[in-house]
Amino acid sequence: MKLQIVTSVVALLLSGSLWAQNYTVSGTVTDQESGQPVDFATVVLTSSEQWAVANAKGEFTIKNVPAGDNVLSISCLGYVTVTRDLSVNGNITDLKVSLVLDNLRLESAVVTAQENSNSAATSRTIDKTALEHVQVMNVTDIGGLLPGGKTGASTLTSTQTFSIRGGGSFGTAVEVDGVRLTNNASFTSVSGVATNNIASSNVESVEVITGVPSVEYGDMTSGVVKINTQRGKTPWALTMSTSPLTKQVSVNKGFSLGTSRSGASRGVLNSTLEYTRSVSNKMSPFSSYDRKQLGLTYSRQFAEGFFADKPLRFSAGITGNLGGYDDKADPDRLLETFSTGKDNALRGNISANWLLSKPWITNLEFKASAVYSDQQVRSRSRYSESTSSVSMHATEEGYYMGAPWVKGGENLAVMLAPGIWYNTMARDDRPLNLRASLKANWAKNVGRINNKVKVGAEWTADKNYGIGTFAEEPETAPTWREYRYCDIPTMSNIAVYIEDNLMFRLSDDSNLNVIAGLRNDNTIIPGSAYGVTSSISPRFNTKWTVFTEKSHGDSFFKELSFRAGWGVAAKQPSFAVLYPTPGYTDLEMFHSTASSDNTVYRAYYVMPQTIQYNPGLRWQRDHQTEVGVDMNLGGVHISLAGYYTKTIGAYSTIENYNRFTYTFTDPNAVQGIEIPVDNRAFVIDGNGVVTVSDKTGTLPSVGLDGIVRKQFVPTYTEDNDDNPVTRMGLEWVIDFPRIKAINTTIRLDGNYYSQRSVYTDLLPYYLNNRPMKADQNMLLPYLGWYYGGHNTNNGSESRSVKGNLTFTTNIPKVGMILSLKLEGNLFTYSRTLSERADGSARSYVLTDKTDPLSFIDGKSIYDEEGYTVFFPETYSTFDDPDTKIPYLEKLRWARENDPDLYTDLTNLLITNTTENYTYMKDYLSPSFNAHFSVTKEIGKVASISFYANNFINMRNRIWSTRTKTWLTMNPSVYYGLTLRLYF
Amino acid sequence: MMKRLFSILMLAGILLSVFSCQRKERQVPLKIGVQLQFEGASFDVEGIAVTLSDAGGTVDYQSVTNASGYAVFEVPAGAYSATSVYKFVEDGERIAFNGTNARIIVDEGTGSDFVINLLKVVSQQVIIKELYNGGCLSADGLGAYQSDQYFIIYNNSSDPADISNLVFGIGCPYESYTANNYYAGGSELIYEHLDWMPACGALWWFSAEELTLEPYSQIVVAIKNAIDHTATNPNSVDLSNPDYYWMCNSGLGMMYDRARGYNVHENIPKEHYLTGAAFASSPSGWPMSTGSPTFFIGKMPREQAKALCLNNDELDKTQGAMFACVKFPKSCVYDALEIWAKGNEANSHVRFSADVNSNYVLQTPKMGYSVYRNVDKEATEALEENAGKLVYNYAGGTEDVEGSTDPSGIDAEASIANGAHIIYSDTNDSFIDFHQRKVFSLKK
Repeated sequence: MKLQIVTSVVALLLSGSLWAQNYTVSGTVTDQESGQPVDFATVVLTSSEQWAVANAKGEFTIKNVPAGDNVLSISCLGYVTVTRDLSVNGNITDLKVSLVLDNLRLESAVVTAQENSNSAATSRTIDKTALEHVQVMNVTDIGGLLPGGKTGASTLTSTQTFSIRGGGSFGTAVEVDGVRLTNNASFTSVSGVATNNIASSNVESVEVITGVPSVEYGDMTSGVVKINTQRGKTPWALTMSTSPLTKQVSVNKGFSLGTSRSGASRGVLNSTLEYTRSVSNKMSPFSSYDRKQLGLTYSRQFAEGFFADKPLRFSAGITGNLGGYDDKADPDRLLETFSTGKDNALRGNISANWLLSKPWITNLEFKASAVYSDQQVRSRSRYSESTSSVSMHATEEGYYMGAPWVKGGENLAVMLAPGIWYNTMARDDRPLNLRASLKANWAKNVGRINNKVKVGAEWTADKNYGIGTFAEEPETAPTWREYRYCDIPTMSNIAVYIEDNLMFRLSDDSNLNVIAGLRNDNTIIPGSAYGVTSSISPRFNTKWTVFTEKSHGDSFFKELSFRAGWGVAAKQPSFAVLYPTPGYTDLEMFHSTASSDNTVYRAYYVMPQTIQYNPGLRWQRDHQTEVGVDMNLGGVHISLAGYYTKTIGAYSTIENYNRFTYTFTDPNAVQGIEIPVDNRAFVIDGNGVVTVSDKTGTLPSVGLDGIVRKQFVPTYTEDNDDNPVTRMGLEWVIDFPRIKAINTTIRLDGNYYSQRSVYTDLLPYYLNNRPMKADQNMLLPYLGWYYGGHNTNNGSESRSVKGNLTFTTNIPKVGMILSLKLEGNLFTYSRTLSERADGSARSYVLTDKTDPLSFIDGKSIYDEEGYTVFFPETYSTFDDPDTKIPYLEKLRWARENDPDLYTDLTNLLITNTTENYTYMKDYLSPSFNAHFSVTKEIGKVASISFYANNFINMRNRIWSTRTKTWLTMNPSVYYGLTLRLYF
Repeated sequence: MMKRLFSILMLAGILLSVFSCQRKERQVPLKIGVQLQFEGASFDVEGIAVTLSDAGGTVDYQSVTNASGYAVFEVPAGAYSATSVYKFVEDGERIAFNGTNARIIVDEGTGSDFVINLLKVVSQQVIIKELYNGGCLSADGLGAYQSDQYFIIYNNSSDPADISNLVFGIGCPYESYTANNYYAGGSELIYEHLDWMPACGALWWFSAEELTLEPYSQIVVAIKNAIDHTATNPNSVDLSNPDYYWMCNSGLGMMYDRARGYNVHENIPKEHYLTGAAFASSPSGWPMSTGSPTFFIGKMPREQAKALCLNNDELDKTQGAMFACVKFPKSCVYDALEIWAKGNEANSHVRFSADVNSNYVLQTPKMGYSVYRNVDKEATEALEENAGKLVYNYAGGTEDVEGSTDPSGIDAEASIANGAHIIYSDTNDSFIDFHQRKVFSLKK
């Protein structure tokens, strides 16, 4: 039945489209002030999704425009975008549009993030004026402009990532001109892509989608950040910025490439050249991060000949960055040591948007991109050993005796001479991300319904061409193992999606927008246990515009709209999740007595801790719900957005244990044997038996007596955390009407954030720091099974309220804008938790800290300070690891009946006696900060910006109720200056 | 004219304000008294020296007691620490009465009489002569070398000493400046008046069933690597001497032996490997601090010591399970030493109760300094066999780098080399008994 209804509606819509009449819309775009034509202006009919680009005479033509109401939007770099309703009932040939230069001489100039009123999901845009005003050196600096966002000291020497609504950087997607930047091919961290190597001087705008995004966006769980660089003709722009930690100089220019003999534009070439240098310490400005970037973007519209009725917009861009971290110049580092890290990147992309304007398809868009990075790190360190040592390189399990390095040899266990030496180690990390997508959209008006359908497919591939860690001087290298990133197979993802965007025009200024989409991702890792993993991501958004200023301009309640969204998003794992660098346990089995030159022979047992591939691993998912309301009350614009997000199946590494028995030989066994110490040579066999021989061959070899020891050794598995992490919050932005007398607007924004997570999986843990049972030759023959792992807490909760008050004074007559922002952490609460899945107690308060059974059942650990104890749920023994014995019951029994067992079992409990305020609620007293910024335009040839953050040097002393101590918050005064010259 | 008048007025104003400020800063000495007491009663001995040191330890004020054991001072307002020691020989035993009051606040309006409670100390036969724990400069001078640690015990008497039952240990916590649960939020150790004190990590003893330390002789025990450290670092020490002993980690019965940095030279005979028992573990070995250790020697039958270690029920875990301690009987303590790292005084707390050891000696680690025992000048000079053998004008202290020196002025090592018998100070007060030596004594 449902299928029949859907089929009928689709048939109706299609049939309607076939009967519609089409017209041509053409006109001219001019500069309002000079009357000169504006070339490269983009003209879009948003309802029908048709477009054109103005030529050198400012002329544009859009053919095959369906009859009916439409919305015309004209935008061009450097101008204020114009949007107006357009009713198409016949050919329109003389449309005149004049654009106003976007500068501080406009009363409408703003330096805050603006809500995207047309979007059904919460989304905000920070435009060029705001970016220049706050002097963004790293694109993450825009975080201070979001509701409740806090301003920080801008530096590039630490890794900067985006994180939206507490969702973590790993799940936040970042795109530059539609090119997705990912960290999926990283083997070193499970975090979002670093933004340090993104040039900031040519950014035109940044859009932050915090609500449920379109299904067009995959491989993310926590929102999308879209960075758009300048596209279009611009004058030469020379920008020079300075702040205590960062200096920047850049040149930008958008070149018009002229016209062909037929009069068609040859396109525009945007270029940017930027050099940014950042230091971590202004008192010792030597350890630095450099960003040297060259970017070229070519854009052209083909609208002649074959493309006369079907224009094609083409764009190709390439960006190269050279830079990274380097502390070689730092005089404070130890002589000869250094640490460097490349952050080189090459990003290339092409896109083509073909306006077909057919009854069955409107646009066809193709995009492809390649992002290649070179993130090699090198580190030279100083080593000092009093006796010879061994660096391990063996990857196979077994016994190894250290031996001097041999050129061309296997060198699995290299004996290093005592003394002081230097060695340089490096890690070759070269991720490559390829991406191609094809998207078709189709837009039609049927009566009062505007319907837009989007269908697309996307292919991505992640591969790392680095060879991982390597030694530049292998003969003196410390312990390291080869793990070639380039040997790991390519991870591909094929996604298809479909989305329908229906706009019901309920009245002249009331409409209902319903968006429904479905995305299917299929991740393919050939030749691995993971195989093919699929995930389905449905997403819905709706927005009901009840009324607008058009009909209610004279009333107090001028605008009202509601929006709601729900959706699922899945995040692909990175190689750091799927193929983490293997770890090894190197157990020293033997060391000899020292010879006259302090040579000590050492033998190790190598135990690989290779991650067990988990074929059942699912992709981490977020279920996101959002509701919002926007209104205008007497000129006060109020935007509220509430959200609830649940992360399911977060990636986590869990430990398991295997039993291990080995042979240990004490130095006692070798001391005093007849072979002179300097003539001794040692070998170890596959059973761990050490034999000492005489290098001179004079005396017979001697086998040494060893003892058998036992212990548990860990193995690791990548798994999904089945305990959901919940986050919820409320964001508000209140813009008060301009106070005309002083040309000042006031914005009140802020957010409430709440997070709670409790990890309750039953996990084993081996306490290898407990006393050895001498009679059993092992540390502790028991394995404890703990709810949520062995840490004293297995969860946390936090809540915060942050608020900002921004005064913006615009003086258009002199082209100046000033802003004063007061930032406040109004409420901050956090607490560590120790709970079971049902919320019952996992830790107990002790009345006698020396007696683990003196706990009071039912007394909350959260009520007051106290020493606490946390018991394993069960335990198992070395001899019978599969049988799990209830711990507490056995502990009580052993106390009365088996003192030795009682003593052993008490070693498994986790007491908290050194920090007795662990579970106390921590309320921080409020803290405040104030920032000042000013931007002044000097005609059309220059502008200058200055900011002083924390300019009254507020050093808030904040009281922590948990630790009962004062903390100092807020950085010291921080300032910056930027000069822009245009010619 | 007006300008000149204005200048004169300004100058007068400035001078006036300067002098008025100076007047305010001038401090009038305040009269206070310090009463010596022993077991609650006044210690009525005349002529005992009492020293009052200001909080920074930069100024000392001296006075002597009257017949009622009362000493009078005139000092500026401030915080002080008062110390007194009274030593004599009785029936062949060296006896000392000593005490410290570190909480003397002198101010107008506060009380002017303070008390020093004296403790009676009978000098023990075997004492800690030196502890080298902080390391030295690396061979290239670019860092610290801290793979070398040793201590020396010494027979401080004219009779042979049976040391087969000596026990070695450290107090709790390992560092003086870490949070100390034994204060339980108060100002007094919870075992201040109990008959035990916590000993952390492990107890050690000699392997040999019978071992005697001859009069005025010593034993060197390597704590970490018993190797010739000078082979790789000339600033360090040669601990590969066959006469030396070594704390063998595998002898602890734990897996410390896997920790790198615990090596022994072939020269050290097996019989010189110390053994012991551990009851709490650190993955890097027995944790003698390189910054602010405590160290004590006691006398206890080794079977009793072993039983103490292995009886987990009796372990004290006030500092946490990782820092489990045996309850070591104070009556078995022979000698104890407490060291604080210079620069951390403000955060530090003493770890021995006053009846075991008072005070601490300051040390700067990583410089090759050691903590060396001061000479009991009176007792040493009183030995007839020392006539003409004592070397004076000791210059081995570190007073020139804000450290300390031996107030006796006797160069103990030079005197020993000269054939003298040295009797070291033993007042159970680390501040009085020890100083920071510029170069550890094994470096000749």
